[in-house]
Amino acid sequence: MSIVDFISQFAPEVILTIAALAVMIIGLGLGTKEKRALGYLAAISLIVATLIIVFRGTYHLQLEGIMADSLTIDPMSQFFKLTFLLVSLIVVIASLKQYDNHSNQDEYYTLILLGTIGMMVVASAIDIVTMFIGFELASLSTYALAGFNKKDPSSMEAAIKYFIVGALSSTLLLFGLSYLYGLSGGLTNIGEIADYFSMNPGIIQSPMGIMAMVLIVAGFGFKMALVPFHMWAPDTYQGSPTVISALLAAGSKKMAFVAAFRVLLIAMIAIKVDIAMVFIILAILTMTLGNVVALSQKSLKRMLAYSSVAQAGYISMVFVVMSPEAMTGAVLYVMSHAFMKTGAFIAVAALGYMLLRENISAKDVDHLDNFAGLGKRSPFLAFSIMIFLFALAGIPPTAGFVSKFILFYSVLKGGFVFLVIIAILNSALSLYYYARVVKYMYVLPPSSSEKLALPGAYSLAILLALIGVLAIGIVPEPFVNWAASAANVLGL
Amino acid sequence: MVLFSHNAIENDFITFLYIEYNSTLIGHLGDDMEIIDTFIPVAIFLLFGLAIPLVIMFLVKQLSPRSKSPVKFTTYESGSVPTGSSKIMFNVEYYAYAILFVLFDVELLFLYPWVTVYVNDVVLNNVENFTTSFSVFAMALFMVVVLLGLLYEWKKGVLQWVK
Amino acid sequence: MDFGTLAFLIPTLPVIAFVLTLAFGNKLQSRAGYISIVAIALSFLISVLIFLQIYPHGTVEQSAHWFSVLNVGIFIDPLAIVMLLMVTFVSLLIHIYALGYMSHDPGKTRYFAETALFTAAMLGVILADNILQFFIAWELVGLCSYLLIGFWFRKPSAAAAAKKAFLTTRVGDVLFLAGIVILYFNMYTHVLPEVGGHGTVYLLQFKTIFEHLTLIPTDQLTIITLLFFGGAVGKSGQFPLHVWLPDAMEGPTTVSALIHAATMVTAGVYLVARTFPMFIAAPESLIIVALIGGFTALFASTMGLVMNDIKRVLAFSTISQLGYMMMGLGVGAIIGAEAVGFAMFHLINHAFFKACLFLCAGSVIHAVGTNDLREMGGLFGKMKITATTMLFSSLALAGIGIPVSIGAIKLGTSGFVSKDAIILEGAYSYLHFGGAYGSLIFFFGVAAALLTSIYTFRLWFMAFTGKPRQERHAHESPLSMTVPLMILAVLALVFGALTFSPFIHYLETTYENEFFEEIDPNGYIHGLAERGGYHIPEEPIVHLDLAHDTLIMMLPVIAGLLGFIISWAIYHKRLFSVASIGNMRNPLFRILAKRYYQHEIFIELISLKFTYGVLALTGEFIDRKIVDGIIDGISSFIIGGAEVLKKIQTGVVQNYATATVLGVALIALVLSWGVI
Repeated sequence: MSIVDFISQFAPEVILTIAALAVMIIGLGLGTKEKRALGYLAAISLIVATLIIVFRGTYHLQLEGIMADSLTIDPMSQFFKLTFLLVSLIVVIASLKQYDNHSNQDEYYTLILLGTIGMMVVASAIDIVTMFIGFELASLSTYALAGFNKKDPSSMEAAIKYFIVGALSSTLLLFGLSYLYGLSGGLTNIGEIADYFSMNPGIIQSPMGIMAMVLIVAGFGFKMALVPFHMWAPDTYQGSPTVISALLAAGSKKMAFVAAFRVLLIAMIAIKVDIAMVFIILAILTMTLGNVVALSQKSLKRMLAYSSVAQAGYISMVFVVMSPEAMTGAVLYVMSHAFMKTGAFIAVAALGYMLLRENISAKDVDHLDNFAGLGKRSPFLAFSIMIFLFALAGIPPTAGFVSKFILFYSVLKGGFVFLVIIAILNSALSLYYYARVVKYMYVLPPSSSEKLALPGAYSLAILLALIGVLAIGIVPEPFVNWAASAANVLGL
Repeated sequence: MVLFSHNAIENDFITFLYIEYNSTLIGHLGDDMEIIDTFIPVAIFLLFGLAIPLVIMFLVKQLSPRSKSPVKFTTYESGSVPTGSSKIMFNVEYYAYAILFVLFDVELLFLYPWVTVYVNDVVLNNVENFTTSFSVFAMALFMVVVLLGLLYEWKKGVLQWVK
Repeated sequence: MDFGTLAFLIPTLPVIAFVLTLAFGNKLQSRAGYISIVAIALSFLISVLIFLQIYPHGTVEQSAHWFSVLNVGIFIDPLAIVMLLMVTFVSLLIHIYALGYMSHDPGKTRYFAETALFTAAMLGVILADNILQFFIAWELVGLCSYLLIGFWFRKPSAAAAAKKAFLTTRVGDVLFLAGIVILYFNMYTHVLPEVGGHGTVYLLQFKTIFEHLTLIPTDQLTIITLLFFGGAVGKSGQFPLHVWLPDAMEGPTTVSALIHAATMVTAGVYLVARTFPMFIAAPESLIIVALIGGFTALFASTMGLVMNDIKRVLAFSTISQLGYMMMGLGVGAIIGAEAVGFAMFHLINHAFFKACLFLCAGSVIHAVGTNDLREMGGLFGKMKITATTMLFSSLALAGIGIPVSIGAIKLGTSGFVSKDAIILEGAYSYLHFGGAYGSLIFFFGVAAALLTSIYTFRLWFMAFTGKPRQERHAHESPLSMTVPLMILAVLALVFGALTFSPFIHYLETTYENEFFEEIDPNGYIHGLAERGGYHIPEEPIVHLDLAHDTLIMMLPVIAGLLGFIISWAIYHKRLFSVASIGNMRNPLFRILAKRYYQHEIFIELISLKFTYGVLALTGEFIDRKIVDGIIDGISSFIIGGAEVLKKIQTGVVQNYATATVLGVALIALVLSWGVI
C-alpha cells in the first residue's frame, strides 16, 4: 500500500491533522480578534472530512492490512467516524460564539480537532497498541478541554478529577492489554489474538486471561462511565464548559464503545457467558443508578450527566446479548445518543450564554429554575430542548425511540426478559425528570417576560442536532441498514 | 513503495525486545496449559528483586555503627548548613522545563527502534533511493511534528526562564 | 401524467391551508377564507383528475412503511373516489357559502382554519389504506367536530354540546379501537403464519385483511364487526348514540352542514362500507346493522315531527337518513355487494340535499335571526331563491318521484331514487328472499318514508308560507351564499336520476375483484356470506322483477305523496288544528316533544346517577386511595433512594479511585466465579 493510497483512505484524518497543526501554528501569530477565523477553519476542516466520509462511499468497503494490520476501514469504523465528526462539528459551531473573545481559542480548536482524530483512530484501530494511542490522544485532549475555563474553579476541579481517574483507568487498560500481548505470545492485532485464543481457549480461561479481561473491561468502563467507574462523570460534565460536556458525553464516551465492540470479541470466544454475567450486573447497576440519581438533580448539566450514565447502561446491554441485531441497535443508539446529548448540552450552553450576557454575575445558569417559562422567552430553544429530552426518554418519532426499540427488542429476542423489563422500567422512570424540564419550560411562568435572543451559531448547532434526531426518528431505514452493515463487520 | 509488513514487526520489534525469550515462550504455549510455567523466570526475578533489598538492609543494620547526635538528623546539603524552611515556593516553570525535556528525550529515543526498521527496510532490501521509503517518510513527518511542537512552545515563551 | 401520485395532496392541501390560515389569518382578516377555499378546490380538482383516470376499473395504491409498526398509505378504489369527490365538492360549496355567512364573525380566521382541518381529517379517513390510519384520521375528525361545535365556546350551551358530542362519539371510538385490537390479534395468530412472518405484509392493511378473511373464524369476525359498527353508531348518530347530533346544532349552521352532509356522520357509514367484506363474512352483524339502521330511521323521524327548531328538524332527519344508509348496508347479507352501492348512493344524494337544506336554513336564520319555526312564515315572497332551493331539496329529502325509468334515467328526485332503491331493491328483496326480520326492516323503511315526508313539508310550509308570524326585515342572502344553494339544489333534483345505474355498477366493482378468488373463482363477494351461514339466491338480485307487484312498487311513492298531502292539509291549508293534538296534554305528543325522555334517561339516569354516581366515584376511590397510594409509595421510595444514592457521589477524588478499584474487584469476582 502506497502513501497515496493511505492518504486517500484516511483523508479525513489527514485533513484534520493538518488543520489541527495549522490552527495551532497560525494562532501563534494572531491577536484575539483575528483568532476567530481559526474556529471557522476548524469547522470547515470538519465539514470537509464529513463530506469525504459521506460521499466517498468508503462506508461499504472493507479494507484491512493498512499500516501493518493496525488500521481498518469498514462500515463500523466509518459509522463511528461520521458520528464523531458530526459531534465535533456541532460542538465547534456552538463554540464559535462562546469563545469568540477568548485569548486561547486557537488551542481550544486544536484540542478539539486532535481529540476527534484520536477518536477516529480508535474507530479504525484493529491493533491494541494503535487503539491505545488513539485512546490516549483523545483522552489527553479532553483532559485539557475539561479545564479550559481556567478561571473557573469548578472547571479546574472537573479537569483534575477527570484526569486522575482517567489516568488510573488508562493504567488499568494498558495493563490489561499488555496481558493480552503477553498471553498471546506477542500479538497485537485483535483478530490474530482472537484466533490464537480460539485455538488455545485454556489461556483466556486461566487466571491471567481473566485478569486481562477484567482490567480491559474496567478501562473501557471508565470511558463509558459505567457504574462504578462513572464517579468522575457527573462532576466533570457539570464542571466542564458545557459544549465540552457535549463532546465528552457524545464523542469520547462513544469511542470507548467502538473500542469495546472490537476488543471484547476476544472475550467472546471462551468466556462469553461470564462476560455476559458481568455486563448484566454492570448494565443494571448503571441504568438504575443513573436514572434514580438523575431524579433529584436540580442542575440540568448534572441531570444530563446522570442520564448519560443511564444511557450507557442501556447500550452496554449489547455485551450481554452480542447478537447482530443487538449490535445494530447499539451502533444506532450510539449515533442517536450522540445527536440527542450533543443537542441537549448545547441547548443548555446556549441558555447559559444568554443568561450570562444578561447578567454577568449570574450563578448556576443551568439550574432548573432558569428554565421556567423558557417556552415564552425563547420558543425555538425550548422546543428543541423538548425534542432532545423526549428523544432521550425514547418517545417517537425521534431517534431515541427507534434505537431504543431495536436494542430492547433484540435483547428480548436474546432471551433476557428481566433485563428488558428493568430497562423499560428505567425508561419510564427517566421520563419523570425529562418531563419535569418540559413542565418548567412550558407550564411555569417565566421569571422575566423579556425575550432571549439566541445567537446564530448556537441556533445552527442546535438545528443540526435536531435534524439528526428527527431524521433518524422519521426515516430510520437507511440508518438502520447502515448500522446493520456496521454490526455485520464483527461477524457475530 | 511498501509499508512495513507484519513480518517486519515480528522480525524487528519483537526480536529486538525479546531476543531469545520469545521463542521459549511460544514453544511452551504450544502445550496448551502450564501458562504459569512461562512466567517462572519472571517469578524468580520478582523473588530476587524482593529478597535482595531485604537482605542488604538486614546486613547494613547488623554491620554499620550507630550514632544518634542531632547533626545526624539534619538534612544533608553537601556539607553546608541548611537554612530556612524546606517548604518554599519555587518557580513552576521548572516543571514545564522538565516535562519538555522528558518529552523531547523520549521522542529522541524513538529514533532508535526506527533505525532498526530503517535498516531492514532500506539497507537490507537494497532500496536504491532511500527517500522513497515509507519509514523515512514517516520519521520525517514525525520530526516535523516535533519541530512544530518546539516552535509552539518557543513562541509561547516557555523556554524563557523568567518572564 | 399519473395523477395517482398527487393523491397525497388531497388531504395535505387542506392541512397546509389550516397552518397558513392560523399563521397569517389575523393579517388577512376577511380574506382568510380564501386560503381554505383554494386548497379544497385544488383537492377537488385532483380528485376529479384521479377519477377520470381510474374510471371504470382502476385503483390507486400507495403505501409507505414506517419501521414496520406503522403504515401510511393511500388506497383509492371506486368506494373511496366517490366519497372523495363528494366531500371535496360539498365542502368546497360550504366554504364558499361560509364566506358570506361568517363574514361578521370575529373568529372567522379560526373558523376557516378549523373547517379546513376538519375536511382534511375526513379526507384522511377516506384515503386510509389501513385500519390504524383510518382510526387516527377518525379521531382527528372527532377532535375537529369538538372544536367546531364548540366554536362559540363562550356560550355555555355550545360548550356543553361540544363536550356531549365528543364524549358520545368517544364511546363509539372505544368500541372501534377494541375491534381493531381484536382484529390485530386475529390477524397475528391466523394470518401471520400464512403470509410468512413479520415484515412481509402490514397486517392491518385493508387489502391484507380482505385477502385473508377466510382464515379468521366467523365468530371472531362477528365480534370485530359489531365493535366496528359500535364505532359507526357513535360517529353516524345511530340509536342509541344519536343523542349528540341534535345538540351539535350549537355550532355555526355551516358547521352543521359540514358535519351532517359531507364529513363526520358519513364517516360511520363509510367505515361499514369500507370493511364491508368483513361484515358480509359475518352476516349476523349485518342483520344487527340493518335492524339498528331501520329502527333509527323510524325513531328519529318521529321526533322530527314535533321539533320547532328548524335546525333540529334537519338534525333528526339526518339521523333518520343515516339510518336508511345503515339499513341499506345491512341488507347486504342477502343482496350482496350491491348493498354498498345503494347505501353509498343514498349517502351522496343525501350529502347534496342535506347540505342544501342546512345552507337554506342558515340563509333563513341569517335573514330572520331566529331558529324557531313558529316565528317564521311567509318568507317565500322575501326570499325566493332560498325558498325555491329549499323546496327542491325538501322534495329530494321527502323522496318524491315516479317509479318509472326512461332508459337509464329514473324519474324522480335524487332522494327518491336512492331511497326507493334501498326500500325496494334492498329491504324488499331481503324480505322476499327470507332474510331474518325482513318484514320488520321493510316496515321501518316505509313508515319512516311517510314520516319523513310529513316533517319535511311541515318545515317548508311553516317557514315559507302563510302569514308572517313576526314582523322582521327578512332579506335575501348575498350571491356567495345563494350560488352554492342553487348548485346543490339542482344536484339534489337531478343527480340521482341521471347517474343511478352507472353509479351502482361502478360501486359494485369495489368488492368484486381479486380479493375473493379463493372463495369464488369469479371473485364474487357472496361466497363470504355463505361461509357465515347465509344463502344467497341463485340469480343476482338486481333482476328481481317487481313489475307484477304494483302495490309494493308504489309503496314509497305513496308514502311520500301521502306525507305531502298531510302536511299540506295541516300546515298550509290548516284543515286541522295543530293545537288540538300538538299540546303537552297529549301523551304521544309529549313523549315525542320530550324526545322519548332521552335526556332524562341518558343524562340523569345513565350519566349522572350510574356513570358518575356509581362508576366514577368508585373509580375515584380506587384511584385515589389504592392506586395512588401504591404509586405514591413507589415514587417516594425512588426519590428517597435518589437522595441516598446521591450521597455516594462524595466529590472526593480518592473515593472515585477507590470505587474504580472496587469495580475491578467486582468484575474479577464475577468472572472468576464463572470460570473456576
